[in-house]
Amino acid sequence: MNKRFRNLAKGLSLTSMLFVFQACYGSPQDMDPDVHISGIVLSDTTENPISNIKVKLINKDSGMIQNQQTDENGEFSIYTGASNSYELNFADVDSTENNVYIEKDTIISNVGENVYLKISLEKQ
Amino acid sequence: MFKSLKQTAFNKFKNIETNFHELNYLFWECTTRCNLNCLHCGSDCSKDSSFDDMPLDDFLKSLDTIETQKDIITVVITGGEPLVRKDLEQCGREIRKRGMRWAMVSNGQLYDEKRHNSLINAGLGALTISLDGLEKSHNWLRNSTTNFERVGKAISLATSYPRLNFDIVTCVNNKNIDELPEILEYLLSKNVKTWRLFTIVPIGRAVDNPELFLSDKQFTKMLDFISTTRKQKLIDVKFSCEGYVGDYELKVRDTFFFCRAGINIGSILIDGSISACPNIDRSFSQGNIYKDNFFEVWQSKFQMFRDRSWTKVGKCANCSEYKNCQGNGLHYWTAEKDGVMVCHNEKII
Repeated sequence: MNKRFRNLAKGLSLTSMLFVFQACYGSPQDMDPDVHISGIVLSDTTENPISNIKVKLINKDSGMIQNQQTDENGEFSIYTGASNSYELNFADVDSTENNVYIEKDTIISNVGENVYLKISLEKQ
Repeated sequence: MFKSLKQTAFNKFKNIETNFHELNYLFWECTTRCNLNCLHCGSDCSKDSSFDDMPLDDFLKSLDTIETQKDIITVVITGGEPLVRKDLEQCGREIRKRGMRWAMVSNGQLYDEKRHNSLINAGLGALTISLDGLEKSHNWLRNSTTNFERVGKAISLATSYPRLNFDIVTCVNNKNIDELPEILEYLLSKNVKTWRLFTIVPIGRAVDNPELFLSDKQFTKMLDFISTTRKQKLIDVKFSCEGYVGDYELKVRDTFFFCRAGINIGSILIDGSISACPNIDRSFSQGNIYKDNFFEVWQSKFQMFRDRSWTKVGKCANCSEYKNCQGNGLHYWTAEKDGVMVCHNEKII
């Protein structure tokens, strides 16, 4: 009932953005929907997690690129804008010992709010 | 006449919102350490804060008491300067795990490319950075020789990622009031879409510096600038929701004035105090997370924020605009509750 009253008042006041307010010294709170893409990178021979793999995520709708290194558990976790599809690239670069593993590309599409990927990399 | 009807409808809406008392916006004062020493700081923050940073687990325990829908809540991380915390990304991820979005207010000094990427990856949804003038006046207020340049770089990074809802806030004062057109040009050149202007509250370190406050003529000039610039539609510029501005309502922002402190806005402060906005007098705190259940306090207390009849004293007592203003922003009240510190409407000439 309260919600119906709120919506009625919103209409009557003829002003927009009533519910997406901003505290006077705060940040905006209207944010675009996003997607959480996370996962683990493993060695295909030992199945051990691989740290320091560069994960490059390309949002195919916006073209925006985000990067992250896998952590000590071989895991990555990226929040990104909603898109019809994403391209992910896994490369063994920017570490102390590079190019031990062969680079890999993956495309994912029609994802929900959360995606968890298990990526296996082959040794060179 | 039409505006008056809209104001009446809006006042009804305010009553409904006040009674509904839904938590939508939660400030977390995660640190009071700061890498700057700004002349106007309302929190009197410094490099060597007397408080330790609040442990993330303590904050999360409070979040976990919230029994309502989570996706209607935005956590706004503030300080001090949040970026001095090394675990900020982890803080953000834990907030996201609980179904809430998060945002941050920063002075931009430490906002470099590496931090930008890691914050975005951790689900930062909105960012507010302070720019208080052109180089000379900004660095004067920020008490820094480098901050203007750093802020410029931070703005470039933030605007390069359109998914980030980003805005600039400017404390308008004696030194920058005449620069507003040039600041606008600068922001447009940096592709900034949203700009919020506010004045400086006579609290904290600002009290002793009269140069920080606008004269009535300057205040009106600022409102005129906002009103004129809004018509040009080059940028979404507005006066912050810090106070009631009479005839300028709807000319300087999208909605009528509504101080939502303690109505939809709560905060967890550095010492665990549960309050509304962090700049509100600390004596108005309603509880403490170290001895109270946060959400129980939110639901059962905050009466003084929802019933503001106690503000009808001093110059507010017989004011004809009281029903639209209700005592101005609550951060303009001190513990004595003996009168509002600043009446914006009175300053308009």
